[in-house]
This record gives sequence, structure tokens and C-alpha cells, in this order.
Amino acid sequence: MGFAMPETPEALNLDILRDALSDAGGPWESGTTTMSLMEEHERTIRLGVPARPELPAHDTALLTAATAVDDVTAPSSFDLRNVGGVNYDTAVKDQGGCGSCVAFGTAATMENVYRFTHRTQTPLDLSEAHLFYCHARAEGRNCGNGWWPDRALTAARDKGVAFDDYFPYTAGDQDCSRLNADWPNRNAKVTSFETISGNVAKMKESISTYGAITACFNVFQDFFSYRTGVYRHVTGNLAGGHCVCLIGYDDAAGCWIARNSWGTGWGDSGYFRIAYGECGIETFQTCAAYGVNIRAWLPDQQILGLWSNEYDANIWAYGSTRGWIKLDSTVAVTSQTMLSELAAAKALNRPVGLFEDTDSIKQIYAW
Amino acid sequence: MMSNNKGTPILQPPTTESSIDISIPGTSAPSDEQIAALVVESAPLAGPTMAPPAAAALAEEAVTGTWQNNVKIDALWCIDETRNAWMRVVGVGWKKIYNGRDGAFTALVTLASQARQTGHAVNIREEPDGMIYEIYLW
Repeated sequence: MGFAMPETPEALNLDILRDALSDAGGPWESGTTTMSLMEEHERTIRLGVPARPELPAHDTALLTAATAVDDVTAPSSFDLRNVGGVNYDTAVKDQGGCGSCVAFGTAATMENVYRFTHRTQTPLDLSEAHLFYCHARAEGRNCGNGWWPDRALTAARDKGVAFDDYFPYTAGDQDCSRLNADWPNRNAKVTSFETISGNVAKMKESISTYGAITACFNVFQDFFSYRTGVYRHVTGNLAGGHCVCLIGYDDAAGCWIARNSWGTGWGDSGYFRIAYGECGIETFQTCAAYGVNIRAWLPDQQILGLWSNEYDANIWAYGSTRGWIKLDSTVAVTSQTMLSELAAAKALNRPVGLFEDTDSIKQIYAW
Repeated sequence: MMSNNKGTPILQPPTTESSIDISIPGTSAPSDEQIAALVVESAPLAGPTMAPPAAAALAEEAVTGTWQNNVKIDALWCIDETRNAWMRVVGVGWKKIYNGRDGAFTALVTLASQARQTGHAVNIREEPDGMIYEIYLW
């Protein structure tokens, strides 16, 4: 299954793009980007989802549905980079010369869902290499034929994804041999997910509730030169399919806010806004992850609060980066022991090491 | 997600300042060098710098008790009877600690004792039976 169009088209003439944008009233700004400086085949290799040319470039029905104001389950705008003044988004990455965008969009979504649903500033950097060169490769996928988000999320749910330092990403097909064998003790898993393609209300609800979702769309040549504004396809041929992470939306501007994986030298520091109903962004394949758990040692941190109430083994600690997390509660005396150790560290203003697994603390170092 | 049927803490600590380098991951078997790098000089915790959590936030919790925020504990008492311990709240007086379950009782006593030892502020929930059912230790 090819991931791009059968014949790689000639590069888009940028003068034609400027004229087309002018004719369209200047909906967005074009410019020189890290992508526009590449050869056309270098650009299309980064489009790692089989294109869906049957989808309309401009879907007026979806545009109308998305801009309807009767959505009562989601706010009218949301941006994960500024939720009450807090940025829960993780860093923009660069997939390089490989059709691994599905792994990047999926990892970004998992990182953001974990951080936002737990309201935590805990750093989380997951291994796109593990997703793509292990899980996708096991399904016969590679840099040349790409993958699908629902397959990536299935692997992330059933097998898990290692932290990035256990298999750092480099672009180019490779086997799984560089994966650290200890990865079962340093990974993240999706608790559940759902394919919600075409359901605009659920897309907004999922983004505003869980922080991010995955989405794919058809990439036309003009997109490579996007700098800022709300993207609408104005000219150029279909180049391929692409997967990204949606981190917000804005009904007033009529657009989704997306994080791309082409580095910070493309687009608006690596991000872009795309109009509702554009290029199949809602219908191509959209997936919502409804929770992410990690199993790993957290960064050492201080305990800023401790809490309990009238229930047995219901003790929580507030870590300076993790926020509130429950102490292991299988046996009451276990959580009591953890409380004693954490209370000592708190009294001394000393750091603690916390091992988190499935939303609770399983092991502690109290220095 | 933090929800469960036993209740969860909902307030934020008065300060979120940290002197820990969060870029250094915890390890299951830290080396001496890592320990040395991670351990910070002991410094007194800053006193509460924020106003007590808003009553509106407390109202989100489905409990009926009365909250007293940012109070201190200056004495403790217990006797050789099952689950019978009290704490003295500055400006309020003696309050009995919830005695319905061993695990909860022990945890609450630990929090009260730590508050007494460190002089840190607490938020406490008192129910109509006069006992303290919930403690935030900051």
C-alpha cells in the first residue's frame, strides 16, 4: 500500500501559491520553511498515512457542523498550551526523512493526555522509535508505507510505549534491537481509545477533556509552505496523507490547533491551525485516547502536601511536579508506611523518588 | 484520573516552588553520585504564601462537614483505649480524631503529628459528631 500519490508531482511554484493566497483573501501566510527548502520527494516521504483522495478538500457540511454553537459539552475554544495559564503540551519533534508521522502524532497525544488528565507538569517523552520500528514494523509497516493511528493506539494499549531514553528516535528503517530491555519498567499505556472520525462534537469534547487527539488529513503541496494563519487548501496537488496531534480548537476562528512533527522550523514554530472541514481533518481517521498510565520512576521531587480522610488506605501525596497521586492501597499498612516515609521527607524538605504504576505510588525513596 | 468512591484531595498546596532539578529521572538503584546531585541543602519550607483555598473549591466535594483552613496544631493527646486520640487546634481547642477505622485513624494521627512537629498549616474537616474526618497537611 503506497503512502503517497503514485507519481510524485513537481514542486509547487511559490509565485503561484502567493497569487492563490491573494485571490483567496489571504487566509494564511506562506514562507520559506524547512519543508519548502527540501526536494519534493523529501517532503512526501514525511507523509506516513495512505492518502485518501476521495475526501473533499473543503467539506462545507463539516464546516457548518463544526462551527455550530449548540455544543454544550465543550467550551468554544481550547488550547492545551494555555489552560488557565498552564502549558501541558510537550515538545515539538522532527520525524526526519521517514513516514513515521503516525508514531509522532500518537506519542504526542499520549504524552499530552497523561499530563492533562493528571494535571501534572511531570516531563513525559515517549519513544516514537519503539512505536514505529517495533510495533509498526511487526505489522509490516516501514518508513515507505506508513501506518495508521488506530493501529498505533492498539499497540500502545496492549503492549505499551517505552520512554524515549530507552529507544531514542533516528529517521530510517531499523529493527527493534536498540530498545532497552528494561522498557517494561519504563513505559506508558493507553487505557482505552475510540475512533471518532467525523464526529466533530466528540472531537472537541475529547480535546477539552483529555487534552489531545490524533487526526490525519490529506496534504496538498501548499501546506509545505505554511507559516501562520488558518490553513485552507488554495493550490497545488495532493501529496499524501499525514497524521498529527490536535491540541485545541477555536470556534471564533473556525479552526483546529495542531502540533506537527516537522520540527520548529516549519509552520508556526511547529504548530498550525487548519480550518474546520478542510482536507479531511475530521473524517480521514480521528482517534481519542481516554487515558494514559505510566509505569516508571518519576523525577525526584519534593512533597508539598499530604492528605487522608475517614477511609482506610486512602492516602494521597502532592509531589512538586507530579501533583496529587494516591499511595499504594492494597494493604492499609503499606500506605501508612509510605505516609510515614513521605512525611519525614516533607518535614526535612528533602526530595523523594516515587515509582508510579497505574495511577498510584508503588515504591519510594525518601532521602 | 483521581476519582474514586472514597474521595480524593482537591486543594492545591499553598506553594508549588521546588528547588529540585526535575530533569533528573528517579532510578530504582541510584548511585552515590546521583544521590549527591539530587539532595538539596536543607532549607526551611516557606510558610504558606497563598490564601487558604477558596470555599468555592471546597464546596465541590460532596461532604457535609465544616472546614477550618490554614490552622495549626499545638498539642496532641491519646490514652490506652482503642482509637482514642485528640489534637489541639490553635484558637479552637481540642478535637477528637476520627476513630471509625484503624487505617484512617492511623493516617490522620500521623498527619496531625507531623503538623504538630513541623508547625505546618493544615486544613481540617470536622463533622457534626465533633471528630476530624479529613486533613490536608501543607
